Amino acid sequence: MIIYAEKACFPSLYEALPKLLLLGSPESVTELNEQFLWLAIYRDCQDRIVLTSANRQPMPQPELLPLEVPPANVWAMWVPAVGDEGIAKSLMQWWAAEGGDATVPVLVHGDRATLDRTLLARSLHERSRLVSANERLLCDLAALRESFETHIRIPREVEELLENLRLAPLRLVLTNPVPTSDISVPMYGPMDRPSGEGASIRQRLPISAHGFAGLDLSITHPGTGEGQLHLDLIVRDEGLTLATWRAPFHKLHRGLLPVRLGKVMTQHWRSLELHIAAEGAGDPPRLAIAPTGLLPEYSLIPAMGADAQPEPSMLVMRLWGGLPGVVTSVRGNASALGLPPPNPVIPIDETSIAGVRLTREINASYPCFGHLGGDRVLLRPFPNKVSAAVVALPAIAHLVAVSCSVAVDEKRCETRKLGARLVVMAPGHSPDEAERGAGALAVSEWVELDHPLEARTLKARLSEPHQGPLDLHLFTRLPKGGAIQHVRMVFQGFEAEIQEHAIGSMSTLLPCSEEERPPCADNSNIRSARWDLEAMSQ
Amino acid sequence: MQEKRVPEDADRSAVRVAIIIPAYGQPSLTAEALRSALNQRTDFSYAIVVVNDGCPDPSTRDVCLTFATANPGRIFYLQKSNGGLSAARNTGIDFSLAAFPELEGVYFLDCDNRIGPYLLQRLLTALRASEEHIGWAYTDVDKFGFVEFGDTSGPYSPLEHLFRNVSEAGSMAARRMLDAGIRFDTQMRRGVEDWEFWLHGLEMGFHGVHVPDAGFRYRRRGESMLVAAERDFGPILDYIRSRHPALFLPGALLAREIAEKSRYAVYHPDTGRVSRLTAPSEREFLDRDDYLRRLLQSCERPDYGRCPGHLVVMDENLYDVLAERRMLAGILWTLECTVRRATFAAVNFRSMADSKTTPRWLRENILCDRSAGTVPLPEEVQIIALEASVLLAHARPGGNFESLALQAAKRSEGLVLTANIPDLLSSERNAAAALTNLGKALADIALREHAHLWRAAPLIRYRSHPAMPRDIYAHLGLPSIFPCDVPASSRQRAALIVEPGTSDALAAADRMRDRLGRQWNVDLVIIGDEIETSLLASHDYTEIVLLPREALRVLSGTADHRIYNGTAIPCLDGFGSEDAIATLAAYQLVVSVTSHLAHPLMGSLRQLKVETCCLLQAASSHRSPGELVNACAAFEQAYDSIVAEDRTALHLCSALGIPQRKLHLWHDWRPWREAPQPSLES
Repeated sequence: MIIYAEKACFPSLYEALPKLLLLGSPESVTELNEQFLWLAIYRDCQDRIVLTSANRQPMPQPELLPLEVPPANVWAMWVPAVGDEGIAKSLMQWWAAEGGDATVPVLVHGDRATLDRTLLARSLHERSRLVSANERLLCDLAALRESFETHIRIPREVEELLENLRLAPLRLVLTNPVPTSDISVPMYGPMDRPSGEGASIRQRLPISAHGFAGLDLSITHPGTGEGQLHLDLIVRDEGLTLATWRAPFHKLHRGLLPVRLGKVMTQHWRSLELHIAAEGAGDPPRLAIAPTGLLPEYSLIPAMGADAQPEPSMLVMRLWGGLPGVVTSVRGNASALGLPPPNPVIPIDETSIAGVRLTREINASYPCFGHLGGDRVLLRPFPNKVSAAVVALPAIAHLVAVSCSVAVDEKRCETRKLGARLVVMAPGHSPDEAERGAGALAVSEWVELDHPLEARTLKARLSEPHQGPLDLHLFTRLPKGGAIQHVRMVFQGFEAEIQEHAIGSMSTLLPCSEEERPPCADNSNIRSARWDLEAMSQ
Repeated sequence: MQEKRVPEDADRSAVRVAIIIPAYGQPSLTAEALRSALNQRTDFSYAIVVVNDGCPDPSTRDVCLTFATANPGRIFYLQKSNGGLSAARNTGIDFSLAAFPELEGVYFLDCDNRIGPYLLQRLLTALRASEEHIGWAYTDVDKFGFVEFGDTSGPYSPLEHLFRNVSEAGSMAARRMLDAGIRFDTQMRRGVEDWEFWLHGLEMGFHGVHVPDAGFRYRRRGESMLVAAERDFGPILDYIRSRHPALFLPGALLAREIAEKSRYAVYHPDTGRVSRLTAPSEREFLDRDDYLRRLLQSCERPDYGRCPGHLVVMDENLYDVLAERRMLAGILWTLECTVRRATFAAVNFRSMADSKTTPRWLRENILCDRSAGTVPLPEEVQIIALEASVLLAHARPGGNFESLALQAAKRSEGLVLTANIPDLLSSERNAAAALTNLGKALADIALREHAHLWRAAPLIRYRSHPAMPRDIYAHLGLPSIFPCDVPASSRQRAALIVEPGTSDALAAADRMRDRLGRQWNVDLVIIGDEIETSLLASHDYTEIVLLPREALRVLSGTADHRIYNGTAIPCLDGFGSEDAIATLAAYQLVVSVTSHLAHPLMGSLRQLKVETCCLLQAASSHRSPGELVNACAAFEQAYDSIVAEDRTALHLCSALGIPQRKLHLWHDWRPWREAPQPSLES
């Protein structure tokens, strides 16, 4: 059986409006209730069964479409006359086959009063269903509220623990090369800022929101006159503004501007973009830029009407990450606990690590030393001799400590008390001097691995900040009588700790509050998450 | 963020996009999907079509109807008998095509996923800006719940799409693709039907286009991960391949790989440029620095095929001579086979006029420095080959390029092959030095392009690497296949297999080549380390492939023959057998010219839909007719036809049980005129 529908009413068959299907002549029915879409069935000149709207005047030769799915939400099939039961039965069978038993409408024989009684019963049933659904919804909401109030309560001890954990340092995620030029920030008067993202410099960030703590921007010219630098952190695919920063020109000066979030982000948005513009009068600030290099997709997009860059360039930035949800340590959380804020940490780059060299000769017929890729260095210990290697580090400004971890990467190793040590020396010293600690800038203790596979941290803290290049000496030793099999000791996770004030000479910029955020007609529907303003302090 | 909001009272006749949501269970999650669908910010009208796939839970209907009631003219609700996800989507497609005459595309949103507010606008804008062959727009898969990011960025690669599902169901299909009759396969009810749908589009000539930052969010829960873990993908993928043999037969895969030029980068020290190719017929020249930049980019961002996975260093002069002698593809293939065994492969050619054999491959092992875990480069070689990733590992300032980091998974450390090929123009034996210089140039460019800074960036890199053929052919159980050229013309490709030690084998092969006629491009495949010099030069083959047997042997002392009813049948070792099958997999016809070595390969080739033939010609073999026929009889089931030289041999074949229907007399035998039609049967 094939049922056709007039094309003109085809989409309306699948709208949610309740429907009644009349098997009989529409002329015989008075008062078509407007709360329903009334449908009628007729046979056309080719003996096809055609579904149409009962409210419409029949057309001479309507365009027809075959129905694969029965109309939605049909409450009843009404057969007022005795002779139409056959077609009703066929229709019901088709309905069950194509739409499933649950969709088959109630078959009503009889006069209008019979139909009305059926509709009344269905209406009462629907009402009852909605009341139940609403009651369930209210209960769901109540349970949700209750759970927020009672179940998610963090014990004070855990809060204290978290506060301590929150002292985790910021870690440098990415930095880009030495600036080669600069770009002027687009500047507008208070009333003439054009709408849309073309009004700003746009810089895609190669980092996701999860763990993002902030960034440093390099200012080559702070701007003059009365004006403010505006920064927005946007999630491009959601049109979501995550944070807004403002900085008056007179608070800016040449150098790195630390821009931070109040807390390290916990969300997982991917398409982060920084939008930069200025508002006011005078000369706008200028920001340092550098060639994008290998990945031009991270090039900045200048504001509309600005000159294009001669080569793909990006803003000079340092991106910082941290533990999600943890304060970025600029708001005095640490001082509230009476602790000094943790210094930021910079990973030592792979290029330096790859230059590792042996400083005491080893003769072996199996791999015992080498750069293993990434920041991993293999240095096997041997009996009766301390193995030694050195990594030459370039100058790291305001360096206060160097750290790394050490463990055995061979599961079959059973030797315990394997020893490792880290010594920081000025360049040019021998391994023997380093091992003795003669003239050392910093020395870690000999760390012994209680379990060979569990990593231990080595940390050498300098007595005062160091500015020049240095040598990082690595040592490993075998315990007396220790088995030599499988003792693949691997150093990794090399990091340099620098002094907090080394990041920038300007005060940290924190996001502004909802109230201070400039109105933006274009973003009226954009959901936003914003942080409280902490005024820039000198 | 400049997109405008859709007019609420949009006329449904002007609907440009339909969001099709198959609904089955999970009513609260469906509400999230519907809410995100209603929040689209577009400058065109769109509709939402919910198809209840016969869900027995009435709450699914209740939720959908509630939303439809509250959004008349925006949400359409269809409830059908349960037919599976594919059938529900098809119902939504057919409804949308019938209901919305101005429809330009449909977007498929599963009822537990969500979309960002600009998704429809960005996908349709991309489709509108695309060329006619673009059939769908897809985006990254941002998974929430258990967080994961499916980075599908980069230019669309049809070749990559054949082995990796880069287009999720959450993509927009253009009207032109739907008008071409492409629908979801309703037989597929165990998942992955979306991959089949897009591949159907690919088979009909459509490509996808990636749209960044569109905002597709895929819900990843423990349940869905469990389903994914428990699902047996093998049979599902086999089914897809059987549905689209025109995409997945070896010849079809190879044709795409040849078009993408994604296998070899050949650096020419004498001209300073790089050839990018899979087969010599389709070659692109790159500037050296352009190639090195591609190489560095290949491990940072997805762009399948832009940087070949194999690097070969060879003078362009030598390249041209080998191409002229129709030996280039074969030499590159030998190197590729060697690099599967060793960190690098090097070749030296000698020209000994008094030698009676050619190429006469000899092998020398280069041993590594175990304490440093590196293998030194050989001095004075003309060609050197390695996986490009090996060079990349050294690409840092001050990196040492005189030796290479040992690839622990390889059976050998470094292999130098020496071949005697008379009258070969002498070329500089500076390939190793050129590789060292290339490495230094790579390090310089890495510094200039700040590669080490990008290396530190937290990017998603699971699709970022130079293109290796093993990804493409893994489902065939092969690491690669020999890129015998697949011509655009209707001529078919045949390979004739000969092995050394048979005095008239080449003459027999030559007669077979003549018999095949001009409809066929015929390659000569020699499985062995040498063949008589005097016989090689005069033959008119499209390509001559030399597959050194002994020089590439991995294990010594393993049994190298088996006895069948008293006849010794030589066998290749595991690597050798794999090499040989991979060499022959893309031909339409493979003929064993009285070669015993070829017999054990034929069963695998038949599985790959290759027509197999055995030519029995006692005069061209040092073996007796009885031995020849007996060996053939051992593998008779692997052959489509067996051609005997004379009636005596024919009777012998029959006597040893070879079925009559396969037997042909040389004078009566006619080769196939047409390529075998691909079969739907797996």
